[in-house]
This record gives sequence, C-alpha cells and structure tokens, in this order.
Amino acid sequence: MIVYLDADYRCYVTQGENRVAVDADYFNGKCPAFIEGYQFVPEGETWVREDGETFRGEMIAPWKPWEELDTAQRAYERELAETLSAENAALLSDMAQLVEEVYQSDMEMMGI
Amino acid sequence: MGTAFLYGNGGSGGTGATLTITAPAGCTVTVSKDGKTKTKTAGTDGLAVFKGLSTGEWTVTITDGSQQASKTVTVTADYATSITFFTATINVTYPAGSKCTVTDGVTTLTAPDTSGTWECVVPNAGTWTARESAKGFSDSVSINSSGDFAELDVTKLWLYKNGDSRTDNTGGWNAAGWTSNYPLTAGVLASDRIKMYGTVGKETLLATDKKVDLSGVTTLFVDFNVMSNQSNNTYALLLNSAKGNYQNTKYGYVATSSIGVQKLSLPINGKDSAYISMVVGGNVNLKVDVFRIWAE
Repeated sequence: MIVYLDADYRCYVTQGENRVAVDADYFNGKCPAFIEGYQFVPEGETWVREDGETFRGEMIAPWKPWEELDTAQRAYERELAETLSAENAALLSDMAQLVEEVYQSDMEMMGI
Repeated sequence: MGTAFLYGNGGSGGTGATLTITAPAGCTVTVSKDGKTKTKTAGTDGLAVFKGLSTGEWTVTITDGSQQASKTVTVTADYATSITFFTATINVTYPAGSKCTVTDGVTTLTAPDTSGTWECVVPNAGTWTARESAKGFSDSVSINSSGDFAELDVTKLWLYKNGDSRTDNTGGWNAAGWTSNYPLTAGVLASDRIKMYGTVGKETLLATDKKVDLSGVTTLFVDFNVMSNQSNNTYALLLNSAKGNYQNTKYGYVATSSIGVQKLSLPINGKDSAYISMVVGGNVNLKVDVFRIWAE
C-alpha cells in the first residue's frame, strides 16, 4: 500500500507537506495507528539518526513502543472481524429470507 | 618457562610450615607476608625451600632479571601451586566510566581506571572473560601461549562473533520452530561464519533459539559479505516478536541485495526482547557470509 514519508522517514497514511509517497507491502492490512508508528527507509536511501548512526534501506522499524502498535493493530483486527461477522450474519439472514419467499411462492403455484 | 610448586608440611617438629618451590633454575624466588620477605635462588634442580613460615596468605614471586611472575597462595598443612613466566596481553575495550574485570574463573583482574581501554596482562593460558559493570556485557577469548595478543570488546551485546554463537545471549542459532510462506531450510554454522546460501525453491533462515534481552541497547548491527547475487534477491536481518511464520511475526527488518562486504544497522525501539532472525531468498547464486551480529 501507499504510505507517505517525512524527512525522517516516518510513515503517514495521508499526504502532507514535504511527504513522499512510497509503496510498502509490509503495511498491507495494517491500521493507521500501526503504520504511523513506523519508519520506512526505501532501498538506496539512508537515514542518519541524531546520534550520528547511519541506517541504509531497505529498512522498516517501529519508532513508537511496539506494544502500543501491536495493541492498536489487534484492536483494529478485532473490530474488523466483528464488522465482517455482523455483515455476514445479515447476508445469511437475507439469503434465508429469499429462500423462504421462493419456497412459499412455489407452494402457492402448486396449490399447496 | 618454569613452574613453581609449593608443598606445605604440617609441623611435626619445629615451628611453621615448609614451602618447597620449583622454578626455573637460577631464578630468584621470594615469598612475602605482612611485610616480611624471604629470598632464595632456585637451584640447578629448580627447587627453593623456605622453612618456618606461618600459616596464612603468602605472595610468591619469581624473577630472572628480565621477567617476573607472582602468585598468592594460602599456606595450610598441605598445599601446592604453580607459577610460570607467562604473560599474554588482552586489549580490552569497555564503556568509559564503567568498571571492567577479566577472569579465567580462578584469577580475576580489575581495570586500573574507568577510561574505557585497558591493556590487560594475564598470567596463564585459558579462556579469559571480560565483563563491564554498566550493562553486564561480556566477551571471551582463548589464550594459548605466552606472548599471545588478543582483543575483547564489552561495549557490545554480542549475538554472533566469528564462529561463537554466544549461546549465553542467544540460546544458539538454528531454524527450529520457524516456518515461512515458502519451504524453508536452515543456514549453516561454519567454524568462523554463518553461511546463508540460497537454495532453489526454498528460503534459508537462521534465528536465535531464545528471545534476546535488548534492554539497554538501541541498535542492531551485522557485518557480512554478499559474495554473489542474482535477480535482486535479498539478505534480511529481522526482529521477530515470536517464533512461527517469520513473515507474520517480524516487526522490523533491514534488507539488501547489494554485493560486497558491508554492515547494516536496524534501530531497536520500545521492545525489551525479541528473536533475531536472518533470511535469504531461494536463488543458488545468492551467497552471504555473516561474520558478526551485535547490539549497542
């Protein structure tokens, strides 16, 4: 998916001033809170940390505490699962209703 | 090079113990305790005998004018020890401001200051381990012969070093308990490197057997050589929250397809422990030798 990088290679899910768009498969299926806790240095590029340490891409690493990002992602996946489950239940109910209507119609036609 | 043996005899007649020291013929042998010193010259048979010594801790010193060796022994009814003209130097690098010791399990030496560098002279062969006081990092080296020179660096949390799997920190390196979206094979532990070589149709993986304690470190490093590559296959160093499918449990990684001797680094933020793993893609032309992995 497309993420947007600032000058420190921190990730954002929305465009913004001086942010560069990159394609990063690692973030497929990840929620915004998870993505925006990460840095992504593309291959061929280099980030220099404030202590002088150099990091060469391709590199992906969280800059926020991992537990915080993992908690956010799990909550997102739970909510997604609940939503999908509710939609699935509604679809099944609609299908059952359709089947009942067809059955009743068939019974009428047969004079039963 | 000589050996000094001390024999203590319980006094069945007369006062004090008798020490018999074997040393290089002709060298000067001195025993001292509480400011009292006795000196003899080792005979052609290498023996120097001291009688009437009180029980307690004695320092035995031998010298031939150009070299010297010392040993502390406790005199009891029966005892023995050895002293040799043996010196080897270990250059120790440790965090400035912290204390540092070097030990072989019998003798412990302490750095004279907290400067961060120490030219440590050890008195015998063996495995010598340096440890620093700030974070408890350690490093070991084997000294085999007098005159040997070695280097130890305890500013780093070593995870792999030129053939040493650092099982104290890693539990060892293997592929047990790991899977991938593709068939998996294990990297190879050679005598002085890890061989991460590509295999057709499989990914090659090697990982720490246990979670590494990363408290107190901020960056993971790896020294390696990509000897050959094809089609931009990559070598990756990863942080994993758990074993299992490494694709699902990875939470950080650095990867390269560049050829040559190089070093990669990966920031470690906000997680006190993790599995460290390495993966290469399934191309037989991808050959990576890994020499050192550490954290600072």
